[in-house]
Amino acid sequence: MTQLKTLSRQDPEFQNYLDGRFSKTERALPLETLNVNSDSEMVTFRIVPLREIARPGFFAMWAEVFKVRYFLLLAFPAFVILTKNSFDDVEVDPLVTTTSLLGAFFLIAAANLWNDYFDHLKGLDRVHPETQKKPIQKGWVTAWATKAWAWVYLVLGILLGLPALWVEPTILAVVALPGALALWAWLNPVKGLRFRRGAELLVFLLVGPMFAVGFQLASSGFFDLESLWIGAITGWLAVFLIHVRNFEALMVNSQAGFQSTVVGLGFESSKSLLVGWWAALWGAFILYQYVYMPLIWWPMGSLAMALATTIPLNRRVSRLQSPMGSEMTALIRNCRSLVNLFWCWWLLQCLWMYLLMEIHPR
Amino acid sequence: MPTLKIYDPRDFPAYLPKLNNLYDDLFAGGKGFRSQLIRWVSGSLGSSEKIQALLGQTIEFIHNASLLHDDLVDRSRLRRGKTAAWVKYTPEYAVLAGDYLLARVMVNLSGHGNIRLVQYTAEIISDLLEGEWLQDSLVGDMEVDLSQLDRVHNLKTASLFKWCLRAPFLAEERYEPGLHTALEEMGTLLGQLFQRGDDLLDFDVRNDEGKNPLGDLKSGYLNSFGAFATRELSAERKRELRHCESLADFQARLGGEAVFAARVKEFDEKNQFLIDLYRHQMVLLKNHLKPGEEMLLERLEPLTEILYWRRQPKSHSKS
Repeated sequence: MTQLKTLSRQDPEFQNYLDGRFSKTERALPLETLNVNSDSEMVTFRIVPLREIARPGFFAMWAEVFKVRYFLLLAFPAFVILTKNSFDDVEVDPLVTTTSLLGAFFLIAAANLWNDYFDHLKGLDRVHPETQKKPIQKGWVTAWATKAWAWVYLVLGILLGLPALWVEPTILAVVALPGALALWAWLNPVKGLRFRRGAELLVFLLVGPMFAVGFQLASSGFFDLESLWIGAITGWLAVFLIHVRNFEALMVNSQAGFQSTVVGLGFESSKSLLVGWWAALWGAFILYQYVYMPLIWWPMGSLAMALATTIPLNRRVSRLQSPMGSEMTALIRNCRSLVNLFWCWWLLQCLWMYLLMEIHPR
Repeated sequence: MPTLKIYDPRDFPAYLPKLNNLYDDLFAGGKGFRSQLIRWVSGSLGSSEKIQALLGQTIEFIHNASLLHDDLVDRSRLRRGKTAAWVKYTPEYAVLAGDYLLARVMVNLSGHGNIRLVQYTAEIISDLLEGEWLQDSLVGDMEVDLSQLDRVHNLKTASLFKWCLRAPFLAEERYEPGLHTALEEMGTLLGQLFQRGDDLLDFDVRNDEGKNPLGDLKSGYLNSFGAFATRELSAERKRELRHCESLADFQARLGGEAVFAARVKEFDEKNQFLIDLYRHQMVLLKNHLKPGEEMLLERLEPLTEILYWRRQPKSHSKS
């Protein structure tokens, strides 16, 4: 017989069960509900002994908990900026560069952990599809631990960002302060922007231009337009991933009244949004390469890549008839593969730049 | 069992003989399980005969309207062993007859004067149609997964069970949120269990009703058990399932009779969890019932036996 417990949000025990602090040997896993009503006052937990919780290997689990895959959204533009600076013979401060990058990693990890925590708190994780289940729901970590880690990472992120602020105080005005305010607005549990229109704009700014410009300022001490380009492209890519995720959960988000561009546009127009967004990404990237790459073959190659990925994507999207079913699952997988392909192509360009520097040292 | 065509003479006007004939055929063969459920719930609440009749009629009208539309959408030529209405009376008449039933539901319910009941009923009809729409979009998809089907069934099948449980309380102006949350979850669970039990019949499991096996699969629809049992097959092998000629053929493609039996056992275990959850929700429901209403729990308790295991509970078979 399964052990179940239902608690009202007003119940004194509720917070302990939700946080996972009610027992050292058991986890309380909130059960999924098909009745999409995120304001529900009652939560039913399945009480599971710790030993019965299936976990992947140590590294896989913690990589999932800390959302290491999202580090790429920062690591990659940082790598591109460093490559560019190296190519342009710009001197970088290795200590400040390292601390600011590590600081950014900790901040994005903290933001993701807060995000998971608030989703759990508000019951959003009870209504979303199986594929979007998070570590707290799977019982790998408690919500309390998630929140504690978020605080630790937030403090570490701020501390590691201090050297950059010391060296280049303008970062505070240009990036750090607006970034912190935007992040607060996004994660605010009461009036959070996460499920409102405009959230995508915040992600674009935070992960894209703000990070790239901030990192450029921290590492080299000056602003250049190319870092803004790089940030705009990575921010655009981050928002593409959000659109993909929201498209996968279109039905649930729509039923629950969560606002996003995808929900606002509806199924058919969102299909066009995905293809248009992807095509615009390549458009911006081709333009960036045309302006900043010394060899015309790179934008030409990107044009070929754009066509080779956008046309099949458009074909696949056009075939999609339903917000659920295997075609949808395959499309989501396909979109994520395309993003990886984009990273690989850009990486190739960076490696070529390093090769060029080896062959023709300045 | 109650008389199913319980209606006011104004419901089916005498000057529309074809409509009356169509309804006579339609209402003749049903088991009336949903209106029976309404009687159990509203009877436990001490509702008047008038309210019980209104609610029973409403659920049968909605259910039968959905069948009229469903048969046409699925191109099913038989309903309850007889020629489906769209075949016998033309598709146009079948659609109109379904629409007419839904219109009568709104006329009759609004006459009762409880706007919350009217609104909830309208929401349920809308859910039902959304579910039908989504289900149709999954026809031919042999790679659909169980969680996706659950969402469709929650709209299409469970919505009526939810209505049966909640509407009698609304009609008695009982609006406590906790009560309705419990009833809503119980309705969802009953709908899922009923659908999954029904889907098992399609694979000749506990098929005492003598349903023709593999009907869903042959018409290109992978039902909940099909999706569960074949979840580990490759995409290509799943697509080939449409060509299954017989149950033995399906079992062979799955890996043999023993594998099939193991999948049924796993499916039953999975659904046993839903039954546990249903019982848990019943405990929560008990907290919201007034003295004298506890007999409702006795009525609701054996439903999982009937709807999933497809067997008459011992206590009920005696009575």
